[in-house]
Amino acid sequence: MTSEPPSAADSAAPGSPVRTEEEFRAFYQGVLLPELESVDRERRAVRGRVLVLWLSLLGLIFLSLLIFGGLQASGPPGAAVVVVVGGIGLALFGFWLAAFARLSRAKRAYIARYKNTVIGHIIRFIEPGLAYEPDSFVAEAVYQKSGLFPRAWDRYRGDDFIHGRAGRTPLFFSELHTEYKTRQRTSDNRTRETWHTIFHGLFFVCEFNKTFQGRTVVLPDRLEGLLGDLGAALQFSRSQYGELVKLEDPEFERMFAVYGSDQVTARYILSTSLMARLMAFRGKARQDIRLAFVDSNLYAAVSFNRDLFEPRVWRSLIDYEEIRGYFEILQLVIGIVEDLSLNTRIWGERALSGA
Amino acid sequence: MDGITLLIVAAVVVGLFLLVTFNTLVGRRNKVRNAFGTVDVLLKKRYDLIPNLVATVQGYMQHERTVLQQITDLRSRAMGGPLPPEQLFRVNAQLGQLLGGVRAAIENYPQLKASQNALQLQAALNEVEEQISAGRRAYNAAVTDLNNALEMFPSNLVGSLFGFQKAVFFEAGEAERGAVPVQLGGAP
Repeated sequence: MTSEPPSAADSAAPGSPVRTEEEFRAFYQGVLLPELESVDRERRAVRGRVLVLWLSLLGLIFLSLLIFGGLQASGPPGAAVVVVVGGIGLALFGFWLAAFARLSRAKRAYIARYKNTVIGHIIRFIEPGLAYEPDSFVAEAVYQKSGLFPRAWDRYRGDDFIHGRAGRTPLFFSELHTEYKTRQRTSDNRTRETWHTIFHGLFFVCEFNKTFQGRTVVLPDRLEGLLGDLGAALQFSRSQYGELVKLEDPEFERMFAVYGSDQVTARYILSTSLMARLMAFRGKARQDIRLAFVDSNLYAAVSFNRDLFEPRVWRSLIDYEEIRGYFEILQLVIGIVEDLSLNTRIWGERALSGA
Repeated sequence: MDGITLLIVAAVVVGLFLLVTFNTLVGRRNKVRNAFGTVDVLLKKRYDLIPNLVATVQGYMQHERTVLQQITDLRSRAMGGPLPPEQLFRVNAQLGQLLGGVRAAIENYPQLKASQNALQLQAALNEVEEQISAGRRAYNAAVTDLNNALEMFPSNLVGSLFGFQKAVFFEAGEAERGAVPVQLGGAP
């Protein structure tokens, strides 16, 4: 059962076709592998310098202990000895700090090179219309506008900003990590700060293919998934997200809880076909997904409990499985546009605006 | 506990039950009325588009003259005066079905399909139909809530005591169910 008018298929402007794993494997062999080998040489150089640096620090500590012990054994040292030994020690430590700063710069350059080449290539392979800025991230105001995470944050960080168009649909997303802190008084009367994650993962925003006002939020429904009808009965009819919207599809209701500022708008957005597409997407993603539809835009938060797209120092970068993992994550998120058929523009002003 | 206390406790419990159930039923009935109001507004948006649609397509669609006439007649009936919900829904289900057929038939007339006016009409009509579909689903959800309460024990007792009526569902026309069954004749 679908409420899409018959001309939907004709008006769909497809974005780039979905890339298969075979295509990606060929791309990996042809383009990524030479890049990875080159970046991996840089990694080995950085690793060598890290090793040398920390070993030299150990050596310095050991040496100073030796000298300190020797001086103690030979009675109280003269002032000249203290000045000379202390001066040499300070100079050596100064050298070490300078080397540490240089290494940090080299490490940042290595990370930037990995991201710009390897990750950048993967993104353009999936959708040539996208640009990548490794150090930027989605603005606080956008995150807040989505209303997906009402809790106030104390720390807001992010990187790996990707933006552009997939087909007719403008989009952008980045990795985000938001946290709040709590203070606890310990038994010895000191305060201890603890950081708690609000959201960690990819935060995606794109233009929705229908225009509307207000906010509709689609959250994972753990209660109903776990407890069935009892869970459904326990859902509050109002929450901080708005009024509860009960949709007709029981399977969708088991997977998601929907809240919105308006019952009709929520259903205008969540047509029967979009509900089916969202269920399929949820099954494919196997991640915690939250969606918000606010003032004609779609916001999606896909949780990951680790940092993404970061190169390693201690193990080789030449690891097909890891790179394929990044490809799948990027394809999943960019694929939201195709999976939810957002290039189908047949309603109202969206049908008439832009190509 | 003596008999009188027991009686008072029982009376208070029954009173509270009546109060809560009555208020819930009123709340649900108001939601149905509210949702009906929204549907009504959306249906009016549909009526507003029809004259423009007919004027645009009738020059091209010689084969569909009778369908366009039927659409115009149904529109006048729907707008003629306040219809009871059953009739309003029936007229509109039919209207939705015929409009779906016209929308599909536009595809058969390349010249018409390419005109800017037809493009705008299609986009506006698609939007209104999608909104009506959403409004219909919201209305039916509210009706389900009310009717469930009026059929389930014990709220059904309170319902019949205070004369609450079950509301009618707004069934989708065939066209809204996805298929376009109306055969309107071929291209010229």
